[in-house]
Amino acid sequence: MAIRISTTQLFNQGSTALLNNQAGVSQTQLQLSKGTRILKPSDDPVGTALKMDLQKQIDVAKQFVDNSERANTRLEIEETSLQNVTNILQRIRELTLQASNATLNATDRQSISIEIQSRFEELVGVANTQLASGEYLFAGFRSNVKPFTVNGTGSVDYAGDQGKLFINVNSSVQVQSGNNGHEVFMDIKTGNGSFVTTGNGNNLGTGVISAAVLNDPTVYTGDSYTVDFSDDGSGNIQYQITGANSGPLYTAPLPLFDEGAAVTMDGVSYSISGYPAAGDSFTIEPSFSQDVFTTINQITHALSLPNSSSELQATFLNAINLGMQNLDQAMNKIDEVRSSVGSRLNVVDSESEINASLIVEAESSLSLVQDLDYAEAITELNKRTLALQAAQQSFAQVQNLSLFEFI
Amino acid sequence: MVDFTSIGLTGLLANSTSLATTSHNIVNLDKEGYSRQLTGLGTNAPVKLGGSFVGQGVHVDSITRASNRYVVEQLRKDISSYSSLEAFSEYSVRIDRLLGDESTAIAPSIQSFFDSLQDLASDPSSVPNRQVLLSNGEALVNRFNAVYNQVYQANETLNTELETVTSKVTQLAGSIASYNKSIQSYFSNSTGSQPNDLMDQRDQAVRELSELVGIDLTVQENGSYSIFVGSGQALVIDQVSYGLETGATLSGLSRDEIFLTDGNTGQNITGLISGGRIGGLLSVRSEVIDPVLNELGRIAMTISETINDQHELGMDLDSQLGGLFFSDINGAIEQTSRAIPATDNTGTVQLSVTIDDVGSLQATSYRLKYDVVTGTYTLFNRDNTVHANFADPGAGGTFVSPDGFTINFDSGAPIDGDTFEIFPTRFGAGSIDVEINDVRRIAAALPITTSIPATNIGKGFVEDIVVDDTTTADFTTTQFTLTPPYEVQFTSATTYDVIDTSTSATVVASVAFTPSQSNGLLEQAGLYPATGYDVIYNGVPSVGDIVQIQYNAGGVADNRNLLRISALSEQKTIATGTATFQAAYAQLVSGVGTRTKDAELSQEAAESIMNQSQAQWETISGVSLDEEAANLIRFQQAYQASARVIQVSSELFDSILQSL
Repeated sequence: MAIRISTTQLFNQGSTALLNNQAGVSQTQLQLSKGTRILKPSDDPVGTALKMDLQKQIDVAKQFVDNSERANTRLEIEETSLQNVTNILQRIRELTLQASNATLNATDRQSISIEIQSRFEELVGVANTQLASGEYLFAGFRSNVKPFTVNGTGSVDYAGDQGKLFINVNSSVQVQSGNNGHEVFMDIKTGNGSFVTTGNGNNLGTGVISAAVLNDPTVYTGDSYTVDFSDDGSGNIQYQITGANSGPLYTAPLPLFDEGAAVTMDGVSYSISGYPAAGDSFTIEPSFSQDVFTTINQITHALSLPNSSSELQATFLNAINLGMQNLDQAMNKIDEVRSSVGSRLNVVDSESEINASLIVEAESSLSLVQDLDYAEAITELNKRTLALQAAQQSFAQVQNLSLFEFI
Repeated sequence: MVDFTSIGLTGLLANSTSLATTSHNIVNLDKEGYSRQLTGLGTNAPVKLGGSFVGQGVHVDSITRASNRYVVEQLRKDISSYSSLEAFSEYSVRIDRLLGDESTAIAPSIQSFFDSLQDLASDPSSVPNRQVLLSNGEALVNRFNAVYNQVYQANETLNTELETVTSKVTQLAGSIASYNKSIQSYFSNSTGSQPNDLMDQRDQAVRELSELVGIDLTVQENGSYSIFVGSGQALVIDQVSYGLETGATLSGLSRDEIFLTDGNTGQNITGLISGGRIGGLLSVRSEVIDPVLNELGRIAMTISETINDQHELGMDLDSQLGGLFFSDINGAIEQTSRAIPATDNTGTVQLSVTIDDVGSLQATSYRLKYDVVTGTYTLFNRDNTVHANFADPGAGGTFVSPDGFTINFDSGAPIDGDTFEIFPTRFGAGSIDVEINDVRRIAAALPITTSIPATNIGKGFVEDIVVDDTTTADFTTTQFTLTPPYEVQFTSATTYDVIDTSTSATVVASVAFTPSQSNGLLEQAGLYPATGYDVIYNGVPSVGDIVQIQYNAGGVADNRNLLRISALSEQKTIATGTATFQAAYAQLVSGVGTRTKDAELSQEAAESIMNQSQAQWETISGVSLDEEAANLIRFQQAYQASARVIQVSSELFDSILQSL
């Protein structure tokens, strides 16, 4: 027996087919116009979660690239400032070397001293470098306070702090985007970095002390020493070394002075050239921190010392030597900071590149997840349009069929 | 002689009835639920004439409708489940779109907020950057509020719809009862022929009813339908009908429940209903709307609380200690809004709920019920399992839940059966707000700084600063300074003293220090955690080395607290340490997406099943115009033939008359 098809059913089937095909066409059209296949999360819940995760990765990486750029800008400004500092210190070193020449008279040294003084002021200016925003580069966290000021006595006070600004250039990598003034200008070891050797300003002999060297760190106790010269009663110069904590090193008879010979005690060695007079003294103490401005002041002070006699020349040389040692320490320090700035710039660059390539990668994954395959979508649209046309035609045809047309 | 005039006449009558039925079928083509009718003809009893039975024509035996009870029943059930899924999808898609739409989605706002935190971290004293952070914070809370409001609006629409639908159910139940009455009277009065059109109309009413709510139907002996909803609650019995009503069970919460009512007393059947539009609405509410509100709230509360906690440990641009960035999640209004009493509570207990630990919060609600016999409260989970059972702590008492909240029994006494619904997170996304209004109050810095004097000769260094409580006396006694101000002096590479620099007195002497590893200077001296801060020192210090610890007054370029806040975006702070802010939101979106997709797929399946049943119904009961046209011709011809019989009979009679 034939299946009965009711008239309503015939009509409904036709119109449902029309509606379904229309919905299909409209969905594909919307996908095409928005260029994405996920119009709402339920179109692809897994894809949506993936899409959100990728989008977040991209945003985070973009932020890190931005951060890298900022760090880069700051570090480059710092690098330029430090370059200036190096140039200034280099010039002061040249001037000091020139001044240590015994042939120069007081006037010559006076004029050198004047130039050093103006370099000094220039240095203070560089140490007070400001960013475009008006912030001081070398003030630590107190960036709104002018960090370096020359006080009444000619020395320089630091008003900044020891804060260090870090910037995230990747989720696990923080880069120090600047150095504070304390690190760069204040915290510089004196002497040769281990010890400071000084001659007493009232020395009458011609003795000039060398730098002290730490030969055996396991023996050294951390003490400071004073070397005192005296007459042994027979016209020979003898000496006693006294540790600030450990007391006199030798018991009588005291050793006699031997020019240029290395003296070693408690793992530390030094030598004295020239001839110290009885009553002269020298000190050997562990290095401490001294700011570069004090060092320069030491040099200008030394330049003001008279060097008219060989005794005075020795005092002058002791002072100049100490100044030069400290200046070299300052220059080393600046070089150290500059090389650390350079390596930080490298880190910033490489992290920025890593993030940039991560963005490219994530964007291509994102495109795979959400972007529409246009060829496929257009084929789909054609197919669905065709189906819609077919449904429309068959609907019109079938609806015309009725026995009533013939009776 | 056989009277074939009268035989012809029976044919005329019978065929005109058939024609009438066909015409009735044709004109009712578009009447929904109309079953085609068939005229059943019977042969009249023959008369015995000379040993033979002579036929006496035809009569109309019955007019029946073509209807199969089982097909009707199947179709009704299919309509019920389709319409339930349709309602579910409608609401679910709405929320799905809302959460996924670029312009309303929360994920990009969370990202922008943290991006601007990082921007500010690159230049912490920049007022424009601070302004951007504040604006992005506001954009974030606005987005939370907007999404909350939209979901809440969907909930309101759903309530209104429940009202409309239940009143329609009541109305249909009434009609079915009155159809029962009319149909019964025909059944009892007549010979058993059925009032086809009335029965069609009743079936149609039942079909419309099942579109609204899932029902069970039994046919009584007298032809009446009895209709039950839920788990066997009668809606129509014989000629009596009951109604459905909506009503709130929690005072002040817009979340209607369904009551079966006889006009006086109502029985709450919300949990029993399934199927139909009402079933769909109720399940989309409990499976999508409620969870979305709870989860959104949890994310919003976790963001505001974790950021606030860290922000309060910081120091702002004017060197003051950090305050709240977002509004306090434990504001007085927020606390009381989380515990909602049932409308029929008779006791006087006033509750409030404090959030202790956002990380332990579950995105759900709880029901608290008092039992006078045992004197205990029982806290039920959403699935009616027992979360906790505890003795009435009395006014002023508390109950601490392991799920990160505390119920405060602020005042009053309970009466047996008193019930409260506890919503720890439901309103969180609606009440989140930015507390800070001055960009200078953004606490970018940490309040502690250290400095190492130039005289130090050792190689020690400050590795880290710990700040975990700025409400200690150390911070609060005097603004902008630490009380007492400590300084650490190394008495050897392995020992140090802690000095109070205001009095130069040694506070703790000879504390052991382990070189080349992390040492909590104040913790090892027994001062931290009471101080609220500590300094982690590493390396090899020398005798006489000093570490000065100071309040970070003037530290405008310090971004350490911002870095700590922005690290929160990568920390798994939500759902007991399993998800970051973004991940929790992504899970929410994809969860709703999956649920919506399921509903849509089920809806499609249900639709095709329903269409099949509909086709089956149409095959049996639907009117086919072609068939009716054929019948029309057939009955017309039969009618005409019967008329011809009468004519022949008359002619024969005439010929007899003429022959006389």
